[in-house]
Parts: sequence; structure tokens; C-alpha cells
Amino acid sequence: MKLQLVGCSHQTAPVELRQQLAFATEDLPGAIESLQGRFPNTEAVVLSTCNRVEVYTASEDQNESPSHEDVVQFLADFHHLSPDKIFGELFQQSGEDAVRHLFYVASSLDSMVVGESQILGQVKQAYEEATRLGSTGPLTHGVFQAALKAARRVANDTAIHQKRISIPAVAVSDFATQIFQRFDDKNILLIGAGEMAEETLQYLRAAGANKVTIVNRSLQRSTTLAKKWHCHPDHWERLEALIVAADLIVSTTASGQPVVTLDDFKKIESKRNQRPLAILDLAVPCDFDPAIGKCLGVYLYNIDDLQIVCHRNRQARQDEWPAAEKILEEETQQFMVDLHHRATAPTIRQLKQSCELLKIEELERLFNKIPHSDPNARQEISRAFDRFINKILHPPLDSLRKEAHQGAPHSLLEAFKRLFKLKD
Amino acid sequence: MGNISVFCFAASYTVALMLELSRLFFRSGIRGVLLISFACAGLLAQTLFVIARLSHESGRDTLDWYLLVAWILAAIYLYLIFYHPKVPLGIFLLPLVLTLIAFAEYLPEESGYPMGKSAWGMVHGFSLLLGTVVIFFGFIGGVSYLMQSRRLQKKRAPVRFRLPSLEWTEKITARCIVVAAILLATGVLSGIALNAREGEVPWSDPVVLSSGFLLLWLTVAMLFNAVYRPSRQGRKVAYLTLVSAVFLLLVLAVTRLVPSAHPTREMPLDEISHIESVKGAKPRGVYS
Repeated sequence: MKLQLVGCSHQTAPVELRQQLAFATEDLPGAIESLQGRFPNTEAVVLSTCNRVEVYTASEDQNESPSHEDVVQFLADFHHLSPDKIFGELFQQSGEDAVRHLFYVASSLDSMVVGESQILGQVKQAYEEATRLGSTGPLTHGVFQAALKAARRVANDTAIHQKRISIPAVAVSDFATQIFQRFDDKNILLIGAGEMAEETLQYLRAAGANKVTIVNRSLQRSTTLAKKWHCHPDHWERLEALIVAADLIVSTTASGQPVVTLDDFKKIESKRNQRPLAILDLAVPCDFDPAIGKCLGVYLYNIDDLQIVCHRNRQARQDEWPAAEKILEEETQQFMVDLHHRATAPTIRQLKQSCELLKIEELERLFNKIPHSDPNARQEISRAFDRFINKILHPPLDSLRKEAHQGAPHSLLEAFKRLFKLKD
Repeated sequence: MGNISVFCFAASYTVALMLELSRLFFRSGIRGVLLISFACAGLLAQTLFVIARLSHESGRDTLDWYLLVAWILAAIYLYLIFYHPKVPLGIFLLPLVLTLIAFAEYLPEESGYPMGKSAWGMVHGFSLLLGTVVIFFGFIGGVSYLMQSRRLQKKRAPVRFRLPSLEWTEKITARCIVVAAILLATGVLSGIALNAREGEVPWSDPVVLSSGFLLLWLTVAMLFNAVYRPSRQGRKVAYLTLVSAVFLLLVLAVTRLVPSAHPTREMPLDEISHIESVKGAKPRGVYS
């Protein structure tokens, strides 16, 4: 029984190589088909994300399992690369190390951003896709289901996923949601149409924001972003009126000067009727004069305020690391014990079957010698034989079970096979 | 039921409060279950205790005022931890519940509240009781709003303890003012109707006057909200609920401390006849 992993991740390989080795969604069926063609009795799952490409293979028979070189050759052939060029960049792990690695990956402890939640979905998707294509089996089912369970346990029992660590995510989840209960009825004003604006918009949409107006010095850029996210673009000249109507403002321009000064805000403040206003100023330098934050009903957060929280959240995730690691170690050990138990199952089954055959033969011989024996007595004799076999087998099977707790009981299984003349 | 004492439910609520406070220090998966268990145990014990008191005192329908207010607030708390488990309002609600229980325990004879047998008496008692609960709940909302607002202005993001959003507490406190005004108006008007029929309490009685002032304040606050738009937003609503709670405490203090002809407790018939014979006058505290 062999479980192996060959691949690369953001920790081991540069982004250029990862891009070359990545499998597009439409290429995945072909890749798995090719793997199955090369290694017919091997289970396989391919996990391909922007930060990692990993090929998991598993086989009941160690001899039929592809080697490190075989998988590298497959990757090189599929992507039309030289195997020598990529061999050194790809790591290989097997057995317990491979299981532990998968558990860490699924729980996002191996992610570039520790605690990000996307990876669990990606691992699940890779496993389901492989199952759909028929390349999974008992071993890969076991290890992937255990990985998903371990990841869920880490998510539930630790706070590693709870703290946001990107500026837009912190702005929305740690501040905006503290002010507003819901976003679908709020007027949201996005000033600027760059990458930061788009990322923040993504989090706002996830929080339920519907009424979003995008305003930018270039109407064309705001219109493009608005079209993409089904928002409303508006003219820069209407900025004051839009601020009066807004409940939440996200500002991300690249302007060198403040877009809204305290004097500008004072002019429109009375029109707002002291309605609470959250301003997430994500621009550098700031778009809103920090003094505006002292106005009644205004909650102003600039990039420095948010960065403090990001840093604290990052630290909080690090603090959760030992607890997450402990869970994963427990789950890995549990899975390995189950796996080793599973490895002993065929031998135990064979041993019991051969004992059963012996029992039947001996009983037949005995009952032939005493043909007129009482049926009740026959039953008692049969039960006595059963008890005898169980008592004889108990110590060796118990030893086998205990050995499985320590690791794969290969030598003991071999001894069993030789002593009892069991055949595979 | 006879073995249930105030200590039983007070202890349950105290443990629940400790569990709520532990949110400030550490995370726990089992805390939610423990909170629900202790809150349920406390509420059940208090319910049985109130029922036992009701059935024990013969010929009465007077309920223990503070104990009943505490009971309703505890029920609201239980609802909140069931349906909004992440809203830690228990930190504010439970101390209030415990304080009310302490008042009920240590002001036993004078803490009764009239729930007369007549329809007007019932309406009078229950609407004032519910009005008190609503004002107290609005007070909790107001405190929570001000704390959250201060926290957000100091740019402090929640670490382990997430208060309800400003929008939620603002909505709750604004509604509390309206509901409290309606309930108090019902209570005062039914009291007036009752007094007009019975004519027992002079209109200048301190309890009547202080209740009138509270109603007046709530009506003004409600009108202020309706007419002046900025008062509906932000901290002003929170301040209005805080002032309402202060007025309510004044009314309760007047009820307890100032001599009044207003009944605070319905008296048993033998006590009434005894007073009648001694004073030759109509006793306090009879609604029928």
C-alpha cells in the first residue's frame, strides 16, 4: 500500500514554473486519463491551484505505484517540458508525510495566506473531479475525506480562518459590519476605480451591498468597473451630492491631494442630518482629511488604522497555529492507524478463513466417526471448536493490532504469511 | 416547587454572566451550550418560583414587581442567546436582571405591585410592567450603542467581543422609546380611569406625578424624534433612552421612598378589615 505526492507549491517553486505546470480546468480530464493510462492500477488526484500543482497517487500494491520519476515524466510529457529541467523543482512525499502535507494544504496552513478559505473548496473540487473521472479508490477516498474532515475541525476549533488580513477585507468585515447591520439598503459610494476599489467591491457584494455608485475622475474607467459589477457609474462633478446621500464611502484614488477636505465636508454636513457615515479611506495619501473623522456621526478609517488591524489579525492567526497543528497531528495519526489496520485486514481475513476451513474439515471427519451423535452435542462441539480457534488466534491478532498502532506492521504480516502459509 | 429559592435562579444567572464575561478572555466551543443551559435553568427556576408565590398567597393577584421585570428580561436574554448567539447583550442584561432580583429579595414587603382584579387594574399593572421592561431594554441598547460608537471612533476593531452593530442598536432603542411611550400612556390612562372610579389617590400624589412626568418625557422624546430628523440618528436616540431610564429610576425611587396614597401592594382581606377597624378609613392598596 503506497500513497505518494509529487508536486510543487509557492514555497518550493517560482511562479513561472507553477504556471507552466498548472492544469487548466478543461485539461484536467485529459491529464487524469493520461495518468490512468500510464498507471492502470493506481488511484490519482490532481490538485492544481495558482499556488500549487500536486499529483497524489495511491496503490494497494507498492510495485504498481508510480515512482517519483514516473510522475515527473508524466508532468513533463503533459506540459511539453524537459523532465530534467523540472525534476529538481518538484518535491516528493510518501506515506505519513504525504498524508500530513495534504491535511496542512486542506486546512490552509500551507497556503500563501494562512487561514484563507478558498483552498478547502479547491481540494474538495479536485477530489470530486477525480471521483467523477473514476481515478479515485479506497485509499484516495480515505485520505481526501480525512483531509476535509481535518480542515473542517481546524476551521471550527480554532480562529485561524476568522481573522481577515487583507486591507479591503478588514475594512468591510472588521469595521463596516460593526456600523451597519445590513448593506442591501445602504448607499455605497466607491471613489476610484482601481484594483483596490474592485477588491473592496468584491467583499461588499459578498456582504450584500446592492446600491453601489462608482465615481472616478475618468468616467470611462468607472463605467467599465460598474458594468463588470452591475453598479451605477456617476460623474465626478456630483461627488458632493453623492457624499450627502452615502452611508458608506470607500475611497481608493491615487490623488496626491485630499479629495475631500474638512471645509468641503463641513459644507455638506448639515444636509446629512447627522446620519452615520462610514468612510473607508484606502488611498495613499489619504483622500479624506483625517479631521473629518471627528465630525458627528462620522467613522473614518484610513489605511494606517486598517493596517494595524491586519497586523494584529495576522498575529492572531499565528497564535492559532499551534492549536491547528495539534489537531492536524492528531488527525494524521488517527488516519495512519486506520490505514495500517486496513493493511492488516486481508491477512487477518485469510487467516480466519483458513482456520474456518480447517475447522469444517475436522468437524466433518469427527462427525463421520460418530454418525449417530446427538445434534445438540454436535452444536456444542462446533461451538467449542470456534472458541478454541478464537482463543488460539487472539494473541497473534492482538499483537498485529498493537503493531499497527506503531506503524505499518510489514514484518509481522510477512511472518504471519510464512508461519501460516498464507498466499496473497 | 417549594424548595426553589431566589438563590437558585440568581446563582444560575450569575454563572451565565460569568460565562458571558469569559468571552472577553478566551474562545470556547462549549460556552454556548453552557450559557443556554444556565439561562434555561435560571428562567425555569424563576418561573416556578413566581408560580409558587402566586399560588401561595391566598386571595391575591399581586405580583412581585421587580421579580417579574427581571423574569421578562431574562426571557428576552434567553431569546437573544438562542437566535442571536453572537450578540453579547447578556453582559449588560444579566447584571440588570440580578440587580432587580436583589431588589425583589431585599425590598420584599414594599416591592409589590398592584394587579387589581378589575380589568382596568390588570391593564394598569401589566402595561406599566411591560413599559418598565421596554425602558430597561432600551437603556441596555443605548449603553451598547454608546460603547460601540466610542470603540469605533477610537478605531478599535473587535478582538473577541463583538457588540451589536450601531444600526441594530439604533433601531432597537428608537423602537423602545415609541413602545415604552405607548405602554406607559396605556398604564397612566388606565390608572386615571381606575382612580376616577375609585377616587382613592389624589392627583397630586408623588407616584402619580412622577409617572406623569415619565410619560411626558417619553411623549416629548417621541415627538422630538418625529419632528427633528437628526434626533432619529446616532447617539441622540441612545441618549434619549438613557434619560428615559433615569426618569424610570426616579419614579421607582419615589414609589419606594416617598409616602404615597398610591397602592404598592394589594392587601389580604383580613389586613384590610384590621386597618379599617383601627383607622376607620379606607385602606391603601385595594383594587377590585
